[in-house]
Amino acid sequence: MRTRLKTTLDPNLYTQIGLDSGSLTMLGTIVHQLGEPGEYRGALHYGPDVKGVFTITADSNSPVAQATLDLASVEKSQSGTAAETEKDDCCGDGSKESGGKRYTVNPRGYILFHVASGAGGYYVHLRKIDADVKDKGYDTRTLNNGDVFTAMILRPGTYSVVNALTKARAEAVVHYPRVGEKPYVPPAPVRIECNAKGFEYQGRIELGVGQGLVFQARVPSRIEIRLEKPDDGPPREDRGRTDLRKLKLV
Amino acid sequence: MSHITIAASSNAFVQLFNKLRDNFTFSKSDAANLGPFSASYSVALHLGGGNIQLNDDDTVEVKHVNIVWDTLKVQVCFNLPGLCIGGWCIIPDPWNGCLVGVPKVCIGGPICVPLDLSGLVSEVNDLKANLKPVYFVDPARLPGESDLDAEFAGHSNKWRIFIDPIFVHIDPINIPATVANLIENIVRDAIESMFPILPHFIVDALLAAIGPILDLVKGLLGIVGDINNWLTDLLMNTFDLLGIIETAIADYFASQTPIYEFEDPYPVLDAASGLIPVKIPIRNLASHVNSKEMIVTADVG
Repeated sequence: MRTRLKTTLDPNLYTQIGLDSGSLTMLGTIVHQLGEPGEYRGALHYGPDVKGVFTITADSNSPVAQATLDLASVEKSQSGTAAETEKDDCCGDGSKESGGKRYTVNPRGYILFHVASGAGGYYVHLRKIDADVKDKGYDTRTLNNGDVFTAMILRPGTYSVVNALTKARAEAVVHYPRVGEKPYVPPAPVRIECNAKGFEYQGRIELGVGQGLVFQARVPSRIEIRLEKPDDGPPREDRGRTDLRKLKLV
Repeated sequence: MSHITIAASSNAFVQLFNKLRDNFTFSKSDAANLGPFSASYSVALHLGGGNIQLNDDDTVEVKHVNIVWDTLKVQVCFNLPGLCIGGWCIIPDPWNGCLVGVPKVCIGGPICVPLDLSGLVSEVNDLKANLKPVYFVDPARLPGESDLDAEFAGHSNKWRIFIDPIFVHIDPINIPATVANLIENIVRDAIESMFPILPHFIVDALLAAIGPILDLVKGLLGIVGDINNWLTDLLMNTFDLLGIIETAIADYFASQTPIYEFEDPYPVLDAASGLIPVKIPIRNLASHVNSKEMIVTADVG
């Protein structure tokens, strides 16, 4: 009798190789601070398409320090499958009204954009409702000073890390996992500052599988992480595969 | 003094017992949720071999009867934690907390480990019993039906002699230590088959996150000591198979299947030449043993 491990794991977690802060997928998040109180209207974009809208209230009296926006849930709620949406919107209540979900956060708190399921590929445009017509608002394709982009990489290999706006470059290596005497736990995230000189990090970035990368933007940034050379681990006789699925590169 | 005395030698008694023993079968299945894991089993067994001894103290003693587990299937299900990514803090709180954290994603899930241990043998260590005669009224017999009509209809009453256990001791099953390797292979196989058409980096990441599989399984199931002893304890004590089988064996010998039975009234002459059969009623049946034979006495009337 063959036992299969049943799991609801989203295959996008391991089929999407590479990350782009301008096109959020499951293994990336963006943290943004609104700064000023007021009503903000958000639009969820997938390429040229608007997949959903939402409203964020930055209320100085709110105790909420983090509003978590699952962009996949925002899209689902707009496409009429609200029953499928997840209720994981911590702190910001994510209550649904006409005009999309509504979140509340303290203006000195943070909004965390992430994709809990599905292929993702989103970016977000935020604009204060009463903003001046010349104010184009905030677009997650360009990280502002103070924004944070986090990435986790599961696929072992060598990656290029590029800030598309400053042309800064770095190399990251995700080491192949080894079964040891103790269970492997991804180490603490590596924190990297993106400034005018490039990435504030000495040498090659060495990572374990699933270890986090935290990019702190000090200048306008867009972080792109691409697989340059995969590491498939040691060859094994019992693992000859001829029917590999073509992996989707982001 | 009794009107009738019948004796069976110890050899004859052994033959009767062997037939009785060989007809014993038992099967059962059950399942339970045991907190961090769930378990189920399915068993079927029969008896074989052993030594029987008649004693002068009017007891029968049976030792070392094999319990042959024709079916012994156990399944243990638990939640495999797997590899968890995220969950760490992006922006710490100046007062030692966390203002913004990354959502945690875990690659794992429920897993069931089926174990087929069929073919193992354990033992009825000791069974001591007296002989007990019981009068059996056939429930199919109609009210007012004569003994003759009942015989023709196959519903005769009977005197039955049972082996009535004073005690039954069975040994717990000895599950071999190799079951640990079996469990390890099943869990690894389950993880490997989770991603059947992808490169193995996720599988290897998961295996690395799990670490030594047996350590993980023992930790999840709260096993202290050897996994085979834990499995024995699960079956014999948690599911109380030891007690259930002891009861089933005692019940089988004491009230389900007699070692011998006599029809009442007892047929003396068959029907012949147009005459009805000759039968004599039996009362006060008693049965005893000594080291040489089984003795059955009864009165006519």
